[in-house]
Amino acid sequence: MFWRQRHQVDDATLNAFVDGELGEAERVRVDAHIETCAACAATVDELRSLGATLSELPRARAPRSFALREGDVRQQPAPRWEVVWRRWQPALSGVAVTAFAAFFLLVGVDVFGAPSRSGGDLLTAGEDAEAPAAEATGVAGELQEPDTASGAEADDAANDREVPDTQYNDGLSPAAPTSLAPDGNDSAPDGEADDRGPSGFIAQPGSSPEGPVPSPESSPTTDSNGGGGGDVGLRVAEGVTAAVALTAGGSLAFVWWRRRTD
Amino acid sequence: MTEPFDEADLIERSRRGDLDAFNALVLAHQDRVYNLCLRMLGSPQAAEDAAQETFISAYRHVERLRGPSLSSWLLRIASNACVDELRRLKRRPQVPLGAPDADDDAPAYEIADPVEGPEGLALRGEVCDALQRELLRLPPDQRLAIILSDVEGLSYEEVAASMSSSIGTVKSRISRGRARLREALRTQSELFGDQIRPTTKGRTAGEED
Repeated sequence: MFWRQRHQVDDATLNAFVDGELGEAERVRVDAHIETCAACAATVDELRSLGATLSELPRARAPRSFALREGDVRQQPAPRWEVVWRRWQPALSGVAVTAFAAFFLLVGVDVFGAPSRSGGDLLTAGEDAEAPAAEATGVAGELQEPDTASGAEADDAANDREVPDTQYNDGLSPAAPTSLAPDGNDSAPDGEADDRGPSGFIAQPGSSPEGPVPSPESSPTTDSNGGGGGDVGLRVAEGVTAAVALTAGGSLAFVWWRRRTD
Repeated sequence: MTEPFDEADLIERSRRGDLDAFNALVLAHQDRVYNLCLRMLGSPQAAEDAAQETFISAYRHVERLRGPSLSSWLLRIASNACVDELRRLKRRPQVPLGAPDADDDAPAYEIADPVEGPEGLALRGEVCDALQRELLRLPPDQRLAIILSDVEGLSYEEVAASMSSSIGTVKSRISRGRARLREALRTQSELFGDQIRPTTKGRTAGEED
């Protein structure tokens, strides 16, 4: 197709030429070119005919009056949802995301924390080596971390090995949770290790939801025998965060849907 | 409307919420808006919906209207309404304007110099139908650029403003869209022989390169 061939003058320029959208210098150049180039001259003619035909297309007249009635403009549902959406979308999103995160953290604590705690109870609480291992950070982290700190401060090789050794074993067996404890021992100033050890993992689920969470979180640390009260607290916290998450997510989806359908 | 048509005054009153003033503007511009929607959408019903939506949307945002560019502002809103309508129509099959079979009766005619009389009008109608069909086959952005430029007579700058794009984009859309229209019309002219081809109006043709 000849008009697709590359000339000194491309197709878009020929179009602009026909439409009178070229600057004077460019227009003169194209004018001179089409005097000698049959292909471009034919294209220009074709474009002119096409343009003329398009501009002569019969103009349709409105089949009825589009004048607005009071009712057309008074209800205005779309802007209202638009406003609702704009105002509440960020807040609702934040609440939904936070509540979902808190919910899953609580479920995680419930699933990985509670059964092992009861298991520890069954195995009799006397077995100090295994119970904290399974309980991971809850009891072991908070209670033993000060020991490692003092041990490290003393810089006593023997002490250092004795105390954290049990921790390394603990840390390796339950995988993730106590991995923070070896970190604290290996590197880093002790003050930092102290802060990170317990707070890095356990403080998160406790701090993000509002009220009820710290109590179930603290109760298992204090009582090694009766985990029942803590479980109920956990369940309540789970329920609350799930309800908040679902409410926020649901209303978000509803507003979004209303906005789309309007 | 007994008073003389003062668009600036009507715009000012519309911005203050005067529905009667706004409706006077609607009546003055509705043909142009509807024509754009019809060319763009190809279906009278869809065009009617888009045109109504245009004016409702315009009234809602009437406080944004400033300056004398009411017409291009409305065409811009109408363009958006058409794009929305096309999205909605995507789920339904599109009904093109006019008879789809153009080759059952194909007498000779000239685009540049149309034959007058009832026969000539019918022939021109046929060209228009063919063009409208080809327009509807273009991608929406190219179609819109060509309708705004060639049917509504806007400059590239005005088309760019209506489509919220750059002049360079408009240039290329117009150029690509017209290339497809020309190609399609040429294919059609091959069915009819040379009769649909435009005249060269005695232009001196040099050698091809």
